[in-house]
Amino acid sequence: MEQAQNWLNDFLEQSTPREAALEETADGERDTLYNFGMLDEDSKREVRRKLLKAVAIPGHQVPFASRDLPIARGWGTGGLQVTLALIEPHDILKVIDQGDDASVNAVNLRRLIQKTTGVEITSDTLEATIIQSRHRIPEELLRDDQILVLQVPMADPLRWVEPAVERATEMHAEADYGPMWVYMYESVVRTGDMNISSQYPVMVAERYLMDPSPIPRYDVPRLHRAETLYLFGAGREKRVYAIPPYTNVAPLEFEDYPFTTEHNPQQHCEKCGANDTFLTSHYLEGQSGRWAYFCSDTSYCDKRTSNQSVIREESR
Amino acid sequence: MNEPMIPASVATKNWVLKANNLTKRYGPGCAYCESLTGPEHNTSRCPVCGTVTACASVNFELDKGEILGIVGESGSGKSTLMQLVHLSLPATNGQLLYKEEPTPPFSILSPGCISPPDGVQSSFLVPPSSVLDLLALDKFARRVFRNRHLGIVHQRPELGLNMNFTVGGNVAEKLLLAEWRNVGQIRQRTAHLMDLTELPPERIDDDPHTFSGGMLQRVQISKALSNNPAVLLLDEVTSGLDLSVQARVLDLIRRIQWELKITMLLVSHDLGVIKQLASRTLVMKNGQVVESGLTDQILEDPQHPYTQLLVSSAL
Repeated sequence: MEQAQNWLNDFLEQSTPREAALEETADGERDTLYNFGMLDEDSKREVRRKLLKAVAIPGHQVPFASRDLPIARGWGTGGLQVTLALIEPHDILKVIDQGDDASVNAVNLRRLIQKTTGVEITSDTLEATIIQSRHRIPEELLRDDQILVLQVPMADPLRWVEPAVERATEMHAEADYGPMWVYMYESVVRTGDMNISSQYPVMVAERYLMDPSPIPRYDVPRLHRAETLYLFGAGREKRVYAIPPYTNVAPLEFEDYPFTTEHNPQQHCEKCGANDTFLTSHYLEGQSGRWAYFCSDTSYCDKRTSNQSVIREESR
Repeated sequence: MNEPMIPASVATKNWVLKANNLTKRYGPGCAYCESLTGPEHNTSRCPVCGTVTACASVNFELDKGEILGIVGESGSGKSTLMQLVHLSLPATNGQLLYKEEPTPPFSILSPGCISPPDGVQSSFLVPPSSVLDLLALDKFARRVFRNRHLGIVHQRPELGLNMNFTVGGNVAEKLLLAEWRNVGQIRQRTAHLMDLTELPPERIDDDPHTFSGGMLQRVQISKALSNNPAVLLLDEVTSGLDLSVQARVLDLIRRIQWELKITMLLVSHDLGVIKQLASRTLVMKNGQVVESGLTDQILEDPQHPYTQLLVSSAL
């Protein structure tokens, strides 16, 4: 026992002191108390293997051994594991939450990744090589050398109509999506439109029904034949899936009730003036309090405000 | 697995569906299963290995436009046979052949090749003058076939309907599976079917829980008819209904058969129902067909002792 205690004391003396490690992190170096990317290599290999399968079968949910992380399940553990499994020292990382670089979730995830990898951090969409996001796809056009990692709270779109996981898996295997279509039909019948604001179900490569994570309907068309690799991680449900570049992605729709986005060209961002972006509403306090609209993607808005060049899809 | 396509030479008669030695066993089976089970032993369970032979070498031909009745006591294998025909249960052995009139073909093996409807239901097709062994299809092709060519009405509405959807949604499900993608057309077709089955079309968006037992059976019939099935399977459709409702449902089935000329397979333990609807009948006991023939002939001159007992009990 005494021998073990001595060994431990020697080991701690030889290791980098905790305070020094934190100082290094502040200087842009990673905390050497952790393995690169925090996860052990076996865990990272597990995620990468399952991601390869996910890329090979677009839209198919692949189970993976989701690890415990120092954040709670449901706070982006799936996306975080995908990012940590893929990230390399030369990568440039951007983390956003609902389009915002400065929200609590994004800041904390970014801090964790930066602390355990020491990679360069950016808020510029075009600079980043890996973008981890929650609930949004950045406004600027993503390239084929970038990876977008989306955090997913509920991996299976059939959960709405089939709570039994085994039965839902069978339905995916047989492409038995009748109940989902009935759900959409009833949505139209009851409300006069598809009353789904986010997590709009899409058919990937004409085969698998997929939940595109809670991105708004505005972002759904951007999944179709995109140049970028989209990876989806659901830590709580232990599933990863992917949309490889140039894959057909079609939202469920009817001939007489086509899919529409929630974009309203009459509204514009009060900061940069854009009326072709996804806007979020904020209540402005004051004598005559009112609702105002701002770009959801803060990085894009800042670039426009400071007259920097931005790259958009021509069709939008 | 056998080849799904069968040479056309077997298809000379006017049948739609043909079962050859259709067998379903639950258990490993042994050399004594065949000799120690069946009506002569009054059991379906093999005393040696415990295997239950729910259906043993059942043969029948279902002719186009006819109603074939299957009658027997509880545990005789009627419902198992129905599930085998509905392709919802894998068979242990045998063939289930399907023949259909040719219409523009499309592949059954590729989901992307399923053509959308143009107001008239397209068919899941085999090349002209050929026959398909349904039991040799893979799971996906079976599901496609089931959705496009078979309709089923279960004894209990909860088995055939999703009680979380509206009545219209339930009827629409088969249309949506057949690639109907126009809400207006779907609702038009649903309302027409509800009218056909004597349901008030204005209740199309009502919850199934607000419907009576007889009405739910009619909703099931509407759903089963929605894709103009080649074969309609009726599994104890009138059980659990009171006599007046039973009579109305039977009248409805008879009228639909008369008007639409749909081929039907009717399972019942009630000889009265069989007598009213079926032109030919199979009598089953302990997983085997003990007698088959014209319904009137079976009821008036039963040959097998079990059939005689059944007829005398009913009378």
